[in-house]
Amino acid sequence: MPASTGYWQSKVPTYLDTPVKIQTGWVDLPDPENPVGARGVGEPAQGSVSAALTAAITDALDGHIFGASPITADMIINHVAGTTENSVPLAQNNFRG
Amino acid sequence: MVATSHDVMPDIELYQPADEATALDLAARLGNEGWLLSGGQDTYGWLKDRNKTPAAMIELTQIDAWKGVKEIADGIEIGATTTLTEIANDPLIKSRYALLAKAAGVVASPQIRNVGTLGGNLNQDARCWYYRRGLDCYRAGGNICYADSPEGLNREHALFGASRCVAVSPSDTAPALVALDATMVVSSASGQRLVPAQDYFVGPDRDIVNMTALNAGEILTAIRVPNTWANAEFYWEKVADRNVWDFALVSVAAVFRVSGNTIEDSRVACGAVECVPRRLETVENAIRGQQRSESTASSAGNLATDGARPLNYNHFKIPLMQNLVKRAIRG
Repeated sequence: MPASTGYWQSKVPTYLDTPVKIQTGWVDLPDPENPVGARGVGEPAQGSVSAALTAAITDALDGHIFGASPITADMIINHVAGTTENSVPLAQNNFRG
Repeated sequence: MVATSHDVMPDIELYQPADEATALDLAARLGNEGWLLSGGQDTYGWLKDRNKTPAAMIELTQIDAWKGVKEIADGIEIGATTTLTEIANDPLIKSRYALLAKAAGVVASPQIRNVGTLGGNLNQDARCWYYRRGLDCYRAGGNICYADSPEGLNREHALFGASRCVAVSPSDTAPALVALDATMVVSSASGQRLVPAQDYFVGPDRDIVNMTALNAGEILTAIRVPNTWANAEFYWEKVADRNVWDFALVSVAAVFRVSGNTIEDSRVACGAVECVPRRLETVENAIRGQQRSESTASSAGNLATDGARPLNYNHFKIPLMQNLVKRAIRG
């Protein structure tokens, strides 16, 4: 049941939550599936961001793998403090059942 | 139960009194029917969603007597409709009660602080999203708590003092004022009463539909901060999902009188862990006379969560609260 009724509950990162400096790079590889070689920007790049963040968090936690994404701050705090939630992780749309 | 937002104002009788007597008279006459309006940052969401439908509103912002910061014999008095921006920038508050300036300065966003008032921040209603959605929960007069159910999402909810309702106090300024031993000036047509900040906020065990001791016909008109903790050592920290425009997951407001490195006395209060700002008297007692050190901080931090009863998804608040209290004491 969606209970959110406004943007104050839909927590899009604000200016103060994003890095001061964001760098971009180009790999210069055309997409063979596309007639002009164009690749998507924006949304397609988010998959690699998720992977990069997950790897960075795992690295920071001495190799601990959460096995679910997104990794929330709650999960990190619980892991570091050695506490666990009463319930199974929230149902996620990642076919884990 | 409506999940739609409306852009048109519902039909409401609007009163805009320009002096105290008229406002108090209106409040007495309208009683529960008269919704008190100041900055409106809690009000308009309710109205847009049609989840509260007041018949009349009394706008308090035209009354100059209830605005501004002034010195009194014992400390300062802050008018309840003083905006949060004014409080965060006020020279007197910044120099003597920096704790309050800091707390007011991290409420919501700059736009909201420009119109939102101290009184509104203290009197705002619970932010449990089931309640805000307009469901018929206990707090809304119904017979169920959606947040404390097997499937309920309650990561933002209470560790302490749950009694049918598990919502927390959403205010950032409330724990700061409890730590500063502030007094609420509650006015009505029949006079004035003074309520200590700690008694002003009430939990669901005492009143499940109201979060404050304000009765129908009464208006919170001022907040007095005594000299007791002026220029003390302060610590304020708020943890939220975002750095701006968010409610606290846990906040800590602490004041210390330190001599040498010994804590003579202190007040420690946490926000967003109970329906009221939670004053940690056991922690205050444990650190009295102790050195302000890592080891004192560490043992007091663990003491802070004694008696916590986490729900399904808010266990993380226990280490969070312990660490915040630890950081406050360590300084």
